[in-house]
Amino acid sequence: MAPQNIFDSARIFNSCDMVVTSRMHAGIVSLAYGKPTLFFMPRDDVKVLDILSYLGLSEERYIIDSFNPREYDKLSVIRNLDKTVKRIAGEHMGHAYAKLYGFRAVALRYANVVGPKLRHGVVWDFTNEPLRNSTEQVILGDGNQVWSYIYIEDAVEATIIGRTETSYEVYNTGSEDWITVDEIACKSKRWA
Amino acid sequence: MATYVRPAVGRFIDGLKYDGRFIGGHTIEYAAFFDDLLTYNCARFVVKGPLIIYPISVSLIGLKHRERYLKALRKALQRFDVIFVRGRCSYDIPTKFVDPSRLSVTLDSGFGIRILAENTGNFVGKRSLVVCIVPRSNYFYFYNLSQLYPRYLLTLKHLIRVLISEFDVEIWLVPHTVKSSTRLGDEYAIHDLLGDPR
Repeated sequence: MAPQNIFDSARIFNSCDMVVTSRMHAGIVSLAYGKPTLFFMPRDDVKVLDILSYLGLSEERYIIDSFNPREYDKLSVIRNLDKTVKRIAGEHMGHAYAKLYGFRAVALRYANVVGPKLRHGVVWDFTNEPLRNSTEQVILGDGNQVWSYIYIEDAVEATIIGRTETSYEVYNTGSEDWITVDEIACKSKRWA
Repeated sequence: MATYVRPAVGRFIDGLKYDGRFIGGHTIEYAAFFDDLLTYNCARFVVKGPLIIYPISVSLIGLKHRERYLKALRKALQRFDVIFVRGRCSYDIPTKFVDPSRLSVTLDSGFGIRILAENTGNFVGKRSLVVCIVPRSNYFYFYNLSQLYPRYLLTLKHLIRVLISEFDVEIWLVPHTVKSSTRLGDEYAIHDLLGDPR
């Protein structure tokens, strides 16, 4: 469908349940009508920051920077977008459903969850790999990747607390500190 | 006289009769940079009263590409009596060019659409959950990133597949530009997305 003027656009956005937009103005109009809006934008766009600031939203919480085309190769662009866009789209769909059918929804963004029954991931690999192969420890990438972790019991507690009274809310569920893969490797050596 | 020649020129010859001018919201960016400069400079010649611009954003990427012409932009912006910007981030950039007392932050005009058209009505026959997608192509061509455009389309296609398969939604592809005969219009982005070369 092709809108002939701005009011047609407004009518279309008002009729739908969620908007995915690469155009800032379209996103603003859809926000004006209270629609969950996923901005699928190139990075560094000042307008995005403006909108976030006057909606009172924090940049750290709402900008997922996975589309910096100059820094990624083809595969990583798709991989990163695939992961983050799917996640954000899922959150927005939750918002749309909550609004449409009148129930409450909460999106919890978990950091890497670790705990007693962990069977995969960096921590598991580093603590169990030396037992199988004592001569070497493989680190994927340069080891400077920074990750935040959360203990399973804290994650469960956050999930219970996260039940919200408002119609829709998003929470980053993690710890305030972070650690590099290299540091985990050093610590796991000591544990082993 | 103003009827038979271009209005701006006519008014200029006629004795600068405009009492004020209001330039609508836009972004100072790479592609329209010189058009904007021309508009700002011409505006001052044909207006004897206040000159107001409302509300603008300033694209950091655009300014980086037009770094050599920042002096001209400064001169052009200094011609305005009041400059409204869209938000805090856009406010910081023009403060380097113009007197901050002339700058003010305001809400984007897009929010005002709702005041003008509160009851736009809904489309009849809408049964399922609808996701509206507004693609674009011009960004990639403006900034010489056309090699990334196919990747952008690929990701958008993937997102559409995910939305349809996992959430069972109806997808509407909506252009947000008026019908354009160039490759930069949204309609072309939609055709590219659908794999329908034009």
